[in-house]
Amino acid sequence: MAPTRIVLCLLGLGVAGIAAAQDDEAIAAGEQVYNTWCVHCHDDDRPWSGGGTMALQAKYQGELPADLRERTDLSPELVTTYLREGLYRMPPFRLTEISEDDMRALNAYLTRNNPE
Amino acid sequence: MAIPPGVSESDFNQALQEFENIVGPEWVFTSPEAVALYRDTYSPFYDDEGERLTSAAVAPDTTEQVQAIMRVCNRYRIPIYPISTGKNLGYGSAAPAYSGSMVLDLKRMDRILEVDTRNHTVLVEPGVTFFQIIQHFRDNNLELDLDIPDPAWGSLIGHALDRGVAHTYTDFGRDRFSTGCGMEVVLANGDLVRTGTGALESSTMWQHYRYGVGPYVDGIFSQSNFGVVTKMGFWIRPRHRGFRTCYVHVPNYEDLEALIDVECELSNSGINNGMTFFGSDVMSPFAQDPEIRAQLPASGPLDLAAIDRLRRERDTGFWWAKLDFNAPLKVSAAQWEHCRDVYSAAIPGCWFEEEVALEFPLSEEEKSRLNTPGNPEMVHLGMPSLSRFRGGNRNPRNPDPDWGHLWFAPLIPKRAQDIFRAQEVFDRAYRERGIDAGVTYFARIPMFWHARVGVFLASLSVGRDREANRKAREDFLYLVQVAADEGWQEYRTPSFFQTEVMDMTAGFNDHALMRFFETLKDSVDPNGILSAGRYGIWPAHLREEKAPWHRRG
Repeated sequence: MAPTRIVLCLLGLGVAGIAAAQDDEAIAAGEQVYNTWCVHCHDDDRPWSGGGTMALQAKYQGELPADLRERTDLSPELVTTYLREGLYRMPPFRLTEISEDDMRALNAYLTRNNPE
Repeated sequence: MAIPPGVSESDFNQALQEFENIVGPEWVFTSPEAVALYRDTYSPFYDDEGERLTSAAVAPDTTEQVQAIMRVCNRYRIPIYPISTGKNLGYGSAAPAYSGSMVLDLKRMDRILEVDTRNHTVLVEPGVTFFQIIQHFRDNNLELDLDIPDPAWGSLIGHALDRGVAHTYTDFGRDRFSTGCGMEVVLANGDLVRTGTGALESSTMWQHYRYGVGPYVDGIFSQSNFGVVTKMGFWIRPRHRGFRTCYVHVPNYEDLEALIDVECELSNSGINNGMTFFGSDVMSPFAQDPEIRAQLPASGPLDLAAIDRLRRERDTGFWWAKLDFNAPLKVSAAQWEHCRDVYSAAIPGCWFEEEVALEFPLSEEEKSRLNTPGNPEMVHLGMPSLSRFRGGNRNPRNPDPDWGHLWFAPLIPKRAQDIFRAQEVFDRAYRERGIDAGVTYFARIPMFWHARVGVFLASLSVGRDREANRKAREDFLYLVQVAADEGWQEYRTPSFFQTEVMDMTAGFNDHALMRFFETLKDSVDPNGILSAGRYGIWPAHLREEKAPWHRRG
């Protein structure tokens, strides 16, 4: 392999590595947002939970995971819409609570398991 | 972009520019998408005429920024409405009382400023939540606790200022405002005051002695009519050491009187120091026994003889009191023994049951049992959660959940005859209005968050059907008037009905109290920029239009 191509390949690997690291960072930040704002209702449905997981269990009847963290089909648009508009007893979250950066991180976290 | 009422577009644009200079452009919200986040999704006016909407919002990070914002509001006569965390769901949420006001969003001011671990006080900013402060105690291994409400994502300061209530020890925040000690307040004109001993610049006891010298004024800053509270101190408590729950059962319908009277003696003497619940063994809305359920119509009088016969057959009581003790177990064992002695002497045939006795810290196994039948709720132990939402969310018994609720919450004297009267009055009112009361109104007992009165709490469902919401609004105002006619006032009320409620329930001497508030308003906030309409206190230029007691002349 010509030296130029080797350099380009290494550069490419480097860019991919940086992107992966950035993804990991966003996912970790998103998990933190989830644990601050979401987990009190959207948890593994302990008896003291606010019942978001319970509600989704009643809605999906097992067709989809009731725990949002296990979903593989959530889109950033859907998550953003629900969080910004509210749904049933869940009120909307303001930008002073979940900022645009937080929302991006949360979406990275909730879509991390989606198929490529 | 919406413009606040009474403000010219050019003035508003100029003000927005000045707000941006104060807090930074990213913390001034004017886009329809950002402003819509301040809508009250629990409102019965949602998407209907009369919905209280926000024109824009500004989110400061410091007291100095709040002062500067107040000065700009005065310069351009911009109505502004402060919120702490905006989680006052069912009472108005983050939306203003006067539609078109800007919102002053204090969520960014979320610093825990001081914690006295030796003498048990804290000083916090408005954005600090119950989740946050308990986490702060645990993360820093501080042996401290705080009486908390559920949901716990609300603000300590907001909870206090709106007279919120909680669930554990009487003296540590069940009536939050009563535990406040020292405020920093930005007045409507931008001036800064500290109340209590905080008025002495070198004070080292701001959070330890609430009165200072001179008149005690903290009360007028509740509900944010005259100033924006930017810091507030609270008395908290050392860490919980033990918790015990015990039941007193009594056999007869008429025993409720002695059951409550004895509890008053025990509670007011500090022996029973937790929050007491009263209920019925046979009239519970959760009664599963089909024969008993058949005796519990949604409304109308009960066949007490038939219920008593069923009670005897099942060898159960008629009423119960659930006494909670927040104390080390050795102490609460003696407290409970004394309670048993007093009840045994007062009520022939009563009997006792001990449900749970816990020592802190709880084991993982004990934690796993919380919020399950026969075990305490986390909130009763001062552990934060959002478990109250569970009741309203979708579940197999509630496949079509609503979107919110409207709290009808009249205060009722803590006395059996008043409770029976309230059951009768509200049963009749519900029938007249065609409101579904559930199993039976006669199972309802007030909540005794406060030391000497009960709150006859009932929620009216809010959804996305405008006609149903309109009926809920009319039902609410009807019920408030029914209660007022009996001498019962709301303990707090949603922002969108505060004027009507003050009109119906604060009319003594030609609304003299409201006139006094208005005198204060004109003096402290002459331009009428702050919290217009909050609890019916309107600035002078809007009174004729908005306050019914002025229209009536």
